[in-house]
This record gives sequence, structure tokens and C-alpha cells, in this order.
Amino acid sequence: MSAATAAPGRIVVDYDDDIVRKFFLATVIWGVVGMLVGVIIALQLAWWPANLGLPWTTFGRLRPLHTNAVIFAFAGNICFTGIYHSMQRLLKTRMWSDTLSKIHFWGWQLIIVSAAITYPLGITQSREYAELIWPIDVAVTLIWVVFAINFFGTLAIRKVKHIYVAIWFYMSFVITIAVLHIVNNLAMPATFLRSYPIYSGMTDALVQWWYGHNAVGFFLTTPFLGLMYYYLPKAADRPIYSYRLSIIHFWGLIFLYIWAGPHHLLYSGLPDWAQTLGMVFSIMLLAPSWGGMLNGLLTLKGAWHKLRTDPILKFMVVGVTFYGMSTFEGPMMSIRSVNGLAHFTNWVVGHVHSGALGWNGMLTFAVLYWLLPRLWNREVAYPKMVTQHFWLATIGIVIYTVAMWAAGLMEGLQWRAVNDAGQLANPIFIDIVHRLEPFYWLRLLGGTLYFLGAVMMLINVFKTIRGPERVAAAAPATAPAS
Amino acid sequence: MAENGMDHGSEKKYGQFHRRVFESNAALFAVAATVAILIGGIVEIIPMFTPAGTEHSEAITPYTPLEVAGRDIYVSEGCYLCHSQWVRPMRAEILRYGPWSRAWEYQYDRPFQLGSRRIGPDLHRVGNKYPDAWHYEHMRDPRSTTPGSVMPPYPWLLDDRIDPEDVRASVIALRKTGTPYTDEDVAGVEESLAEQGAAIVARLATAGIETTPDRSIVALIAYLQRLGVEGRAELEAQGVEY
Amino acid sequence: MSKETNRVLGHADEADGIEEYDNPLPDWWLGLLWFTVIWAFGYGVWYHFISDRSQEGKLAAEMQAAELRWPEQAMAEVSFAITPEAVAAGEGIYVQNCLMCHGGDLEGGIGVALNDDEWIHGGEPEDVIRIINEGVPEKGMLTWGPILGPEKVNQVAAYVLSKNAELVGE
Repeated sequence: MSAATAAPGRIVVDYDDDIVRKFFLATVIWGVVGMLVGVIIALQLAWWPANLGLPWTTFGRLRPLHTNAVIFAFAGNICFTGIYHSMQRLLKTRMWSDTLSKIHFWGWQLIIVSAAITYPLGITQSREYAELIWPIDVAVTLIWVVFAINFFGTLAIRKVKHIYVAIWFYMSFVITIAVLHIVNNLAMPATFLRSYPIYSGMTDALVQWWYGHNAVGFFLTTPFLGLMYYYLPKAADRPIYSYRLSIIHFWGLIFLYIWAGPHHLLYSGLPDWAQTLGMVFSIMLLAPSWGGMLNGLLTLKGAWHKLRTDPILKFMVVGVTFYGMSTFEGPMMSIRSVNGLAHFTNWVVGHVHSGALGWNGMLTFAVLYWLLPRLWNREVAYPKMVTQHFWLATIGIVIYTVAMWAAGLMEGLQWRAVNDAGQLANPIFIDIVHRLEPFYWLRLLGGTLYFLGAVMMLINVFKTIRGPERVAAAAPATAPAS
Repeated sequence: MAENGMDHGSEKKYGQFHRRVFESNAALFAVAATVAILIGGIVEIIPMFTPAGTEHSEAITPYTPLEVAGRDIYVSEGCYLCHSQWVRPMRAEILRYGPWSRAWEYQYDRPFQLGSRRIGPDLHRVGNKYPDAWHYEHMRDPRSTTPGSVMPPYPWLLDDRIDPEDVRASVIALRKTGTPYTDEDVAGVEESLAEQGAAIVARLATAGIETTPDRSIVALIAYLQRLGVEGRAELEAQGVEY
Repeated sequence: MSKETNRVLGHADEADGIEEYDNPLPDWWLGLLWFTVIWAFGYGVWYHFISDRSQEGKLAAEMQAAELRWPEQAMAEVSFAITPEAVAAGEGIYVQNCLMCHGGDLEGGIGVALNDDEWIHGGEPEDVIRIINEGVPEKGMLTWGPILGPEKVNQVAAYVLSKNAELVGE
């Protein structure tokens, strides 16, 4: 870009898009891997012989692989893709250090690979969503520090004065994940592969769910809202609906989210006061969550006609709508009596996936498809396939969540049902398990459709980047000379 | 629509304030965000280490070395992904599993294994519910003891062996976290493993099962057979019905 | 949302060209926010301080209501008889719940043999019913009473006693 010239009073900014392309491809590949493992373990629940009789392939060892792959590999890499791409442009500067960017990228992928090796071997902490053993936890901490230095370094050298709302959300992601990860994983090593948490029993449970719930809040929500605030107005070419709403819902969300962890421990030995806090803060989270949905959907006002032809906007609208739906469902499930029925059931699994497949997945696809032609300066190889992917994914999610709702309600009600004599109506647990089987097959169908959509995207991406470059070079990015 | 733009400073007061104070100062923004996300965690977690937090009971003893080894297997296999260890205070759960799970029963649990999903039944009161031989057969082939079970078999646990030095490392680490093991406990890990293992092997022998005390399955049985037992006995001693 | 001004703030040059409107918070959204905040405080105060509720209190109330509704004697009122119907029903229950420990022909295994005339805990119908109901926890025999209920316990006892009689040759 050295040959490019800028208009008077403006300077050329040489963005580092190579790192963005790396994270982009990692997102696509890990996404397909993570979803494939999801399909496999869904099959295992419907048909147990799919555990294959091997230690490395049992449900207990593969499920953490699935959850970690989709959360930290798929969702994590899209967050980094979007952050490295949009923050350079929003701040009109290259990342502070290309070296740190590269260390972050390769370090993170190495962590994912080490997770993929240790989990099937049964090397795990077995603390939900924090299963990584302590040496890998240390690596995560170091890589996160690298990322944070690069992130704040870039903020320090920014060429604009004010920081746009997307960056606020990214910042809460960088800070909070560091706090959560370190506090939650404090442990005493016994061997290189095993450690014991410094917290015990109910305290360990509380700390871990403070972490677990806020992994949802600050790994799967705030960075994605940041992505929405950049890519949705870009794709729709519309102004953000309300700046004031951005302010209120941002602070409301990050302040309130952190309290809601104990709703995972309702009706347990956790003191009543802590259970009540978890429940009421979950209820208060509803409005700040919907603030994000509103600012997304209302930004599209005046652009609805584009929705018919633009599959990227379709992904975004469905994604934001699912965000609104699951952030309504979540507070409802935190109400004591509702939780009493829903807890331990497939309903929770359905809730998680309406958020993960519906919100995180759909928004990820939108960002990827928006970036694809821009990052490689090529036309998308199969434009129609993008729309087909959209429909496969949408139908898949609907089948998945409906099946899990039905299964969850059924098992929740049958576990507690009593007969005329006041005794359990279904005393034999396995009877209820068998009644869930049709729903497990249905869920497998929904998940498979969603997975196939992701495979189509993988094909589309690789075909596109091997295609011919656009003839006209993109105009160089410029910023006001300050 | 009045998109005449360039209308700087037309925000509401708090918008202007936010823009001037926070949005132009990344460091201040970061500090404010950090404070915002710390408050909830501090308010909820710190009291856990005070009397307002979880209870402690003398009735619950630390896990024996063999039980520690068994628990490590439970953790390693990810049993918590299908089985909770958490009977909730509800009549239907108490009928199905036994007295609901008190906080003090978990006092030596590192990591906690309450679980979040019941693909299979709760295990918090499974101790002494079935004979040792039942567990042995169940882990070998779940369908031999529970017709129609969907649990995968774990035959390798019947062959794998536990390493006393590995268990000692665990006991030492647990002691450092605050579990009240004595010097004798640490020194006697091997002896304790052999003694408790031999008792289980003898019970298995009466059902015609031949194995040795150092097998993984023996450790796992030791762990499962103590789940919820001391807690239930203490509740009975206190005259608590459920 | 008539208060929409759709007036842009002019921040776009600092946001990679993304404009923002200065629209006010939607009234209903603000209402929702305040409603949940007030409800949350109200609920917390009501739960802990006004009606003095607790998880244990709720359980005690549930147990008390159940005791009133299903008094204990309901368990005892089911009659016992070794009829062909009871034996047939009992066989099904046995196959599903007892066979894995006591064997297909009552020969025993994990549990004791039931095909001989040795009754460790007593061989009268009331003994057998009591053992099934209460279990033998130290030997791993479950307390089947709450699992099966009185009728099924009687049926499976009928099956065991009749099959035993058949095998022992009485």
C-alpha cells in the first residue's frame, strides 16, 4: 500500500488483515469440528453403541470437547476475527504489535489442540466449561495477557479521540474473562496433569458458576454485541438506532450479568440469600439484554427491504431475534419454581443451544460472509449457497429447540409425578430415559442440518479464496491526519 | 427524518458526559468497567468464607486414599456430565433418592461434582444402595444390571491399575488445600489403599468376582459406596426425616 | 415510538463511518427496566423479611401437605394373596427389577438365592413383604417399598413365594 496516496489532510492506514484472515479460517475450521463432535454426542444419547466401546470416545469425555470447541474455538476465534478487523478500523490504526497478534493466534490454536488431545484421554478438571487442566490454564492466562496488552496498546495509539460502542463491549470481554479465568482456576497442583481447586464443595460450585454463567455473559454475549454494533450497521448501511440505549444497556448488562451465577444452584445447599440474588439479578438482566436486541433490530428499520435479497442481513436478524428470545427464556428459567421443573432437564440444553446456535452461530455466519469477499478481495464463489446455509441453519435450530423443550418438560414432569397413593408415578428412572429417545433423534436431525450448513460454508470459503482476485483493487483505507 | 448530521453535542446530558469522560479516556473506561464487573462477584463470593456462607460438619470425614483415587476416576471420566450429585429439597426427589443434599456434605469435595444434567439418575445417595458386585457388573456392562440402560460400558476400569505414588501426590495436594489429613495419613497411603481395597475384593469374591485391590474399579466402588452415607447417618442422628 | 428524532449525532468519523441516532430509550423498555428492578427488590424483601420464607420452609410445607393427603396407612391396606393374577403380575416386576441380582430362576448372584428353603430373614409372606419394602441396606438390597408401591410389592412377593414353592417342591 506504500504506493497509495491519500487525500490532503488524511493518512493511509496499513491495517493488518493477515491476522484477521488467520482467525477467520480458524473460526470456520473449528466451527465445523466442534459441531461435528456435537452431532456425534447427540447420536450417543439416542443410540448408546455410538460410544464405540472405547475409553476415548465416551460421552463423558467428548462432551467437554464439544462445548469447549464451540465456545472457545468457534466463538472465541470469531470474536478475535471481528475484534482484530473492526478495532483497527474503528480506531484508525494498525494493531499495536503484529508479533503479539501472531503469538495470540498461534497460542490460542495450540490451547485448542491441547484441549482436543487431553479431553479424550480423560485429562480434565471436570468443572463445567473450565475443564482444562492447570498447565493449559496457565497458557490461557499468558495468551490472554498477550491479547490484552495488544488490545490496550492499540487503544493507546488510536487515531480517533472517542471510542465507539463496539469497543466498549470488546473491552468488557478482555477484562472480565481475565478476572473470571484466573479466580475460577486457582488450584493446587498434585501432578502435572491433575490439581485440586482451592475452593471446596458449595463454595467451589458458586465460584465455578459465577465463572460459568459469565462465560456466557462475557464470552458469548458482550463480544458478540460488539460484533453486532460494528457489522450490523455496516451490512445494513444504517445508523445505530439509539446511542443513549447503547450507554444504558452496556453498563446495565455488565454490572448485572456478574450477579446471576447462583441461578445455576437454585434448590441446593447454597444459602438462600445467595440463591435469591442469583434469581433477582437474572430477572433484572432482561431489559439490558433486550436493549441490545432493540438496538440491533431497530437499526434495521428502513432497511427491511434489503432483507429479502441479502442473506447476511437474514443471518443477523434471526441471530438477534434468537438473542432476544433466549435472554427472555433465561430470566424465566431463573425463577425458583420454573427452575425447579427445568433444572437438570433437556430444556436447559435447548435454552443453551437457542443462544449458541441461534445467536452466536447465526451472527458468526453473518460476519464471516460479510468479511469473506472483503478480506480476500474475491467474489463469493457460491452466493446461492449462502442463502441455502441460512435456511438449513434456521430449520435446524427450530427442530433442535422444539425437541429439547418437549423432552425437557416431559422428563421434568415425569421425574416429579406421583400416583394416587402419593408415590412416584415413574419410580424406574430408565423408563423415563427411554421415552426421551424420539426427541433425541429429532435433536440429532436438527443438529445435523445445522452442521451441514456449516460444512457448506466451509466449502464456499475455500472455493472463494482459491478463486480469481477482483480486478479493481480496493481503495486504501485512510484516516484523518491528526 | 432529519439526517442533517454534524449535530455535535445534541446528546442528552448523560450522553455528553459519557462521551466526554469515558469514551475519550480508555484507561478510565477500563477501570470503570472493571469496578462494574467486580461488585457482584465480591458480594456473592466473599461471604462464602464467613458464617453467612456454607456450613461445616464434623460428621463428614475426608476421603480415604482409595476414595480419592476413585473420585479422580469419576472426575476423569466426566461422570458429572450425565449424573448429578445433588438431591434437591423437593418431595419427589427425596422419595426417589433420599434426604436432600446439605452443603456440609460437600465440604471435602474438590472439585465439586454437583452436575447440571440428569441423563442418568442422581448419585449423591448411591452409597450402600447396591452391593459392590452390582457396581462391578454395572461398570463392566450397564445393561447386565439395568436392562435398557443407555450408559456406555467402562470395561477398562476392570483392568486399569492405580498407582499408590500418584494417590499420595493427590493426598498431599488435597492436604495443602486444607483437607485435614495427618502426616500418618500421608505416610500410610499405601497401607490404607491395600486394606480398603482388600475388603472390597473380599466382598466381590463372595459374588464370584475375582480381582485385585489395585484395580481402578475397586477405587471407584470405594468412592461410590461412600457417597451420601455419612450425611444420611448424621441426619438420622439429628432426627431429621428428610 | 413517536419520540424518535432520527437525528444523527455526527460521530461517524470516529466510528469507521457508522452513524448513531440520538433516539431516546423506548418508553416501554425503560418501563421494563424499572419494573424488573422494583420487582427484584420487592421480591427479595418479601421473601426474606416479610413472609420469612426459606427453601427448608417450603419443603416442610410440601411434606406436611403430602402427609395429610396420603396418610401412611394407605401402604398397609393393600391385601396380599397368592393368586395366579398376582403371580403373573409379580413375574413381570421381578424380571424388570429383581432378576439382575437374584437370577432368572431365583438362583441368586449379586443377591441371595431365593430358590431354596433357606430364608435368612424369614419365609412367611409378611417377612418377605417386609424385606422387599424395607430392604437390607447393609447387603445392598434396596428399599423397594417407595419405588414399587404396596401393590407391586405384594405381587412380586406372591411371585417369589409361589416360584420358591414350585422349585423347592412343596
